[in-house]
Amino acid sequence: MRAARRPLRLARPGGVRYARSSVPEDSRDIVVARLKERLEERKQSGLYPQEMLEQLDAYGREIAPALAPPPDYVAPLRSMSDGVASQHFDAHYETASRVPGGSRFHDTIAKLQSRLADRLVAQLSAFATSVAVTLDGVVTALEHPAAHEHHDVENHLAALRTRVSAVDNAARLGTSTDIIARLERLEAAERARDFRPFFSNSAFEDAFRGSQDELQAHYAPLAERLEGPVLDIGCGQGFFLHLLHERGVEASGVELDAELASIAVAEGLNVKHGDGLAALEAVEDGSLGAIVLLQVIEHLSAQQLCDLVLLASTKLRPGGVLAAETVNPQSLYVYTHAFFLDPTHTTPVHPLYLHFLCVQGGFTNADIEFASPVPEEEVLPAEGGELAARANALLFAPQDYLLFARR
Amino acid sequence: MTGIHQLLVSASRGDAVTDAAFAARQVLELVGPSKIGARYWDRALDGEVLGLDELCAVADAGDALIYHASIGEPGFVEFVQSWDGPVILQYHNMTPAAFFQEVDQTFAVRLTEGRLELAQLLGRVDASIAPSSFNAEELARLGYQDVRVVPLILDVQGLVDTEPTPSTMHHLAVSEGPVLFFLGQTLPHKRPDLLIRAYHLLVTYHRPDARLVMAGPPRVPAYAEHLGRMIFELNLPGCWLAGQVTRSDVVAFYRSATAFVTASEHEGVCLPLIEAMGFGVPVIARACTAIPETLGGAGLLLPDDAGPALMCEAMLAVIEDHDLHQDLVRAGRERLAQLRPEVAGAGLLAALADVL
Repeated sequence: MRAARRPLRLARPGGVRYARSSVPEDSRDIVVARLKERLEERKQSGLYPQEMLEQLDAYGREIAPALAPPPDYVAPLRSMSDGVASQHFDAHYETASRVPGGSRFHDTIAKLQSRLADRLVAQLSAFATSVAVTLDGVVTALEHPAAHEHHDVENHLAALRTRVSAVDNAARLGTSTDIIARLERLEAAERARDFRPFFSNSAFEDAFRGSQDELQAHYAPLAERLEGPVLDIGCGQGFFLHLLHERGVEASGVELDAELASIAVAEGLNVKHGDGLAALEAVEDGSLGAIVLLQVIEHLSAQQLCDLVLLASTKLRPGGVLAAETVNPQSLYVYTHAFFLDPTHTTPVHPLYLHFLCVQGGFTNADIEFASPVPEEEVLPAEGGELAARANALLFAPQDYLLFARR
Repeated sequence: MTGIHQLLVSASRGDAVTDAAFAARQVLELVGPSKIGARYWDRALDGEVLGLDELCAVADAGDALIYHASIGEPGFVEFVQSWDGPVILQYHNMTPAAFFQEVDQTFAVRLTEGRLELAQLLGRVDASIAPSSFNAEELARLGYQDVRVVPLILDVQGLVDTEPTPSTMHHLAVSEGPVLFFLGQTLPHKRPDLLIRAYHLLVTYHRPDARLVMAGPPRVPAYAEHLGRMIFELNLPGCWLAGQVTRSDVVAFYRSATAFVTASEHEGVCLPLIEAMGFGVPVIARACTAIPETLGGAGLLLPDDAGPALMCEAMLAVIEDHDLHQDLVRAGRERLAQLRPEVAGAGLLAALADVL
């Protein structure tokens, strides 16, 4: 392909040479005109064949799709704004008065008022123009969302909606309904990415995560190590909160799934339905004894995880604990058995990264504790020697790990 | 004494807006205390640049603030609006977002948000200045009135006096052919693709010994890769996409250059044109946006729609026509004298004096 596209290099033509001309000042227009003439002469003599120029243009189009001239948002809006500005606002002021000299007084006031009103109208119209120009630009830029920029787009959309609604007189602009409609379309597209299964989360948990009793048995040792007040983010039906209450530890939870949250509330637990990060943000700084996330962080985006760690370090009191259990990406067994079982899992989190994140986020001490060993019958027998041991380390490493970080 | 402080979104050495702010600070310190605040900055500028909170802490009530607007940034409108003193907007131009729609969505959104922020600041700003009348007109279109054109304070001599990288000088001196130089971010609106096409015609038909050096940070790596592929497929070994380079390398390129060429379609000022004049390098450019104003008659100004063939002819003319070359160099030096830092500094103070 490369050879086929490569144009021939021609010998340097001897026909046109530059004379040593003296170039007087202010004659650069003449220089350009001469360059244009020379260009035409050369084209006549067979240089710069059209085919080659077209091929070069094709390269340009191929690599720079964004070279279309920017749309002129200004012209149509300008004419609209001119229309507004040229409208004559004829205010009627009552100037008749029965008081002697009152008519003249009213007349003066009316003149002053109308001058003031004219200036107000001019200001409003100027503001409307600039808002219309910029809003249209924002929406145009947003109409081609790149899939991988999903989160950015979502955040920008939210911010834009706030700003649009903040601009009071946006509703008076002819274009604003169009802009709002386009924003709503974009929001609908983003919403379409939501996952809303027909099955309940509690059914899913019962089927795959284990019964509440099994979970309580598994997490009892962790509950022993925590001091209140504890916030359990993604607490589900609240098995861990029960464990803490049994030990007299003050604890509350937050759960994104409404059904799971209502089960927990029905059991008398202090659980709120909502977003974990938002709930954490609402907590007073330096007030928590522990923040617990059991099988939660693998559901978060990279940015959300960063935000979480930083937020946790501000909300914990000195010595407080961030305890986060998640699947261990260093175990290949996890991928065949656990990770992809849950369609809402986003990214496995590497223990070294999580450790790094906590240290960077201001935690003084962060330990990684591996848990949930692969059942013995699955592991290669020890008589396999060193080879088996190495394969076991790679394939059958523990399925979970717990980050236990102290502020 | 009233202080005049400056606010940027991000600060780093070599960035045009940052350099302008530092040069302005030298002038502003003649009047009173002057600090530079930013949200992001290079570690190299630790201590020189303050965070927003620190800026508020050192500023006295009634101190003025010059806000250098070049991109949107959440929270900056609120910060500027709550500033306790006069606010001067210095508009550094924002590239139309349309250029970025296909290549960098996030950046496009930030640019348009930047314009929205300008509209929001309209009522709060006490005075506005712009480094070119092109920028001033853009601001006026957003509703700003009485925008004053104040040229940027540029330390071109500082760059000229910088030692070039010896290895880069050597690399370009090994073969004797002419060197065409372009400096600017590798982005679509700078039209590096057009330069490559013109250069292709130049080496194919006229000067196989010519080289084209294109330096500047590749803000959108995918776009720079496309250009690299184009250079490879057109078989142009003399075309060097140098990417982000050091200040010493930039000096080496200017010193080795036969001509500075740009096909850029959108510039609020275009500082490299002025730097090239400082190095006695003739400039070839197209008459787009603020470029004619920056050149001020010094440079070979092609029509704004000049294609690769005409650009190629212009390159050849500057390389081979000694008198034209010398004429452009001389015109550049004259133009540079009009842009002396003392003159620009006095212009800034005069503009501020009217406001404060």
